Amino acid sequence: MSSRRDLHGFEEDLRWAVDFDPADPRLGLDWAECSSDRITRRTLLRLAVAAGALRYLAPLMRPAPVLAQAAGRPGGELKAAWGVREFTNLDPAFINQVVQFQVTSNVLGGLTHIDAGLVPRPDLAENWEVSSDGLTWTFKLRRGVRWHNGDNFDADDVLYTFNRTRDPQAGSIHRSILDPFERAEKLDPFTVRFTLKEPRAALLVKITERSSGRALTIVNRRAIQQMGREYTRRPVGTGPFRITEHRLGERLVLEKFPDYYVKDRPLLDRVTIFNIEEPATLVAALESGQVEFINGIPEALFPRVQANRDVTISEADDPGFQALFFNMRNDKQQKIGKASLPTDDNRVRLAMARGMDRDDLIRRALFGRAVPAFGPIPKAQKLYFRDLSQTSPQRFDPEEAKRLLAEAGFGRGFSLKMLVSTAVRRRGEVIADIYRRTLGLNIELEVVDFPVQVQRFDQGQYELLQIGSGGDPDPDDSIDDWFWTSAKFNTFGWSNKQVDALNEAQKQTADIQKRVRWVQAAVDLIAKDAPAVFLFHGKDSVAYRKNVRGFVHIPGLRDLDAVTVR
Amino acid sequence: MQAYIARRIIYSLLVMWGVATLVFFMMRAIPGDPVQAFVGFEGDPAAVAQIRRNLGLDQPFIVQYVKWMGRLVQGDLGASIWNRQAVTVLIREALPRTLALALLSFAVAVAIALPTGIVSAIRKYSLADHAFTFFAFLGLSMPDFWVGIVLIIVFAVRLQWLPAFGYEPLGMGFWPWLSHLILPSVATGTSFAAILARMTRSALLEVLREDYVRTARAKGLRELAVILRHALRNALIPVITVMGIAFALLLAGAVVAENVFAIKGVGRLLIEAIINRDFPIVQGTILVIAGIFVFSNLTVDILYALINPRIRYVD
Repeated sequence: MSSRRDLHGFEEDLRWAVDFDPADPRLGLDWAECSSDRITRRTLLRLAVAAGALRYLAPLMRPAPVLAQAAGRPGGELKAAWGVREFTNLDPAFINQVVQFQVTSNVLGGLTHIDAGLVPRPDLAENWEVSSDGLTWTFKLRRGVRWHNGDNFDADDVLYTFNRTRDPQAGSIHRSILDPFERAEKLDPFTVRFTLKEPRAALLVKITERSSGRALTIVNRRAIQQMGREYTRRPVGTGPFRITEHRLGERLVLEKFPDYYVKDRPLLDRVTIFNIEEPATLVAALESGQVEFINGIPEALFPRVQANRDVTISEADDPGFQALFFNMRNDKQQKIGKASLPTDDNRVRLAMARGMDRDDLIRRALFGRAVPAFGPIPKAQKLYFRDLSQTSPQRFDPEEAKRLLAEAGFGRGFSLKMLVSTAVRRRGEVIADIYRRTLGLNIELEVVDFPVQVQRFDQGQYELLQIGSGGDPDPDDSIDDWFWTSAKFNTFGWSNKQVDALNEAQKQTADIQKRVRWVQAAVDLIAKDAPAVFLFHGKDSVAYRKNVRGFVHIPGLRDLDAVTVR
Repeated sequence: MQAYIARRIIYSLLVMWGVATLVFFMMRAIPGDPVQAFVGFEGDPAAVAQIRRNLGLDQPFIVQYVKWMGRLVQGDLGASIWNRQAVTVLIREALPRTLALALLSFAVAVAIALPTGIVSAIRKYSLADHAFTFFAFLGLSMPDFWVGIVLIIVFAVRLQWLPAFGYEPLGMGFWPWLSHLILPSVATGTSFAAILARMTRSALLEVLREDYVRTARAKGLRELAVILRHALRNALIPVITVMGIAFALLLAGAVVAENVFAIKGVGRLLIEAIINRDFPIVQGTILVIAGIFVFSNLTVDILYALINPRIRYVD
């Protein structure tokens, strides 16, 4: 299959999806078209666009290139390594890291599963119907599906999962994802009906979303009751692989589940995933052949991996942004012991934005593996992203920056403390160095452990904070989560009435053209008022040896069911 | 005698209790909350509060302390806040790795240090002595971390003689077990070897100046016999003392090797738990390590007393 042809088809579908009359309550569709047997990629896109829920699909916006490769023979074993200390939680209710989901996506299933072509493939639901008012969704479940522990899958499992995620006692961190649901009912052993509070085109997408664990990834009641805490180490699922061994922090072994309902899948007999946190060792393990697949390439070692002729690299844009946040709270005296900071003056903030040489930062701290950012919207949000490198009020201009600083009365510079986590110490040092050279500022680094960073971020106890956002498929993740008065991550005390109004409007509208305009207007205002200096958007990369075939890179995921090893 | 042993046992238990209490309160005194860290930035405050309630972390410290102590005397070290696994299980899995690494590092260190130290002392100021001294300081100066990575690149990537990372339990075969431990042991052992070599050299030099050595020579013994039969034995006393703290030094070195070579040993377990503020693991692990030290000291004290009845500590 030609990847270029598929990409072209995709662009066409996207164009079609966007082109409709937003005032039309049926969105130019029949609800019946949402039923499983008729749904197509462009219908899904239309729904997502209309619901302003392109968010859930955007990371998949670039269909993964399916390279023309000779398929390998089934069987065999893959040795892989993830650059993460341990897989702390594999219980979907508690998953809070993408790396965890990269594992469970091979082990657990949902009602649907999006494939590389962006069509929601029926997974545990065989087909579904939507009522004409869009409030009732009836799912017919697949028969003959077995759990890894021998149980038979049926509607009770779906209801159990639904109730468990919603149960405040269970403490799932994804509870709020199910807020739009009014209730779930079992109509018969293989039929479940969901009733919504209001019609939500995004429902289908929500059930398939994968960026922060899935609220409706189906879990096994008997296993949870029997295993208790162990379940989060070796979850029992319905996916192509089952976990047969998990030595926490060392290795995790996936074995082919012979009763998987898709015939001929998975192709591998066994996958061993090692935990190698040390970047140099991760890459060395790939180079020596001790592992054949690594889930990410440390930035500093990218050139070495690239130069290696035995290794294939797959790179995608990571939807997210990294920025340097100022502290504009009213209670600064209480939080950081200073009633005011030089950065309270908008000119100073803009000066720091214009004094940031992003290309230099990316080269020195990220070894080139990123693109400059001038706002929170990443490239992956195709409809909303604009290239602002020539026009942004935050673009690098050291002369202008110095002028602004002088105008604000800080021509001689000043001192500030920057809070960074241990993981990005180097980045912090480069940032401080850049400011010393361009503006004569004295930025002191405060390097803290992650738990301390979380605490101080929550409390607003910082002068400058380097932090960012990941897995942002939609402007709601980029703007609504951060840049308005009551945003959940707005611990930096920034408030701008105009942006508040624009955000309110953009998150409720189904009119895509209006939404784009409002989002972009908001981004312009945010850049100018500069609650943060936007730094860069990162990359999601995978590397594997040439004998590994059939891997399809869906950004953020590492699905291995079609992989073979020669 | 029995009173002596009983007193030593009581003191040991007191020390253990002191360590446990100190660690308990120190971990809670430093900034950073485990549940908040575990949930991350995304978590909603209600979920965080619920998890804290489920784990009993919302109760006053003293209540938590009493409960923890109660479980402790029953041998229950609690469960990790992050991954909910029993601390005893985590430690039981990690300990063999660290012990194997420490033991082999020790063997490497001794194998390098004793011969070179002896030769250095005997052929004082010779070329060999200067060369060994140079390499000893080199070994001391090179960070274990860097040595480890270089060893991986040379022996695993380029030569492909040994694995680059990981640990295989003995049950999987002797060579797999050994081959995974060679590089990390060399990385850890070389810096300790340097210390040991210098100690051996100076201790032996001291002893060689003693009168009884002169007597031995005067008696007409061959130089080799003098050294091996008379001098070395006495020279080894301070060396053995140093070896006694070898365990502590190697445990520290093991943390670095465990990190570079991705071995889930006690060192790594502890460091990661501290970073994550995972109180039960930190408490449990430090208690186990302290227990090992205390127990071995206790054993040594008792053995001394048994061997030489004149030895008693002033109680």
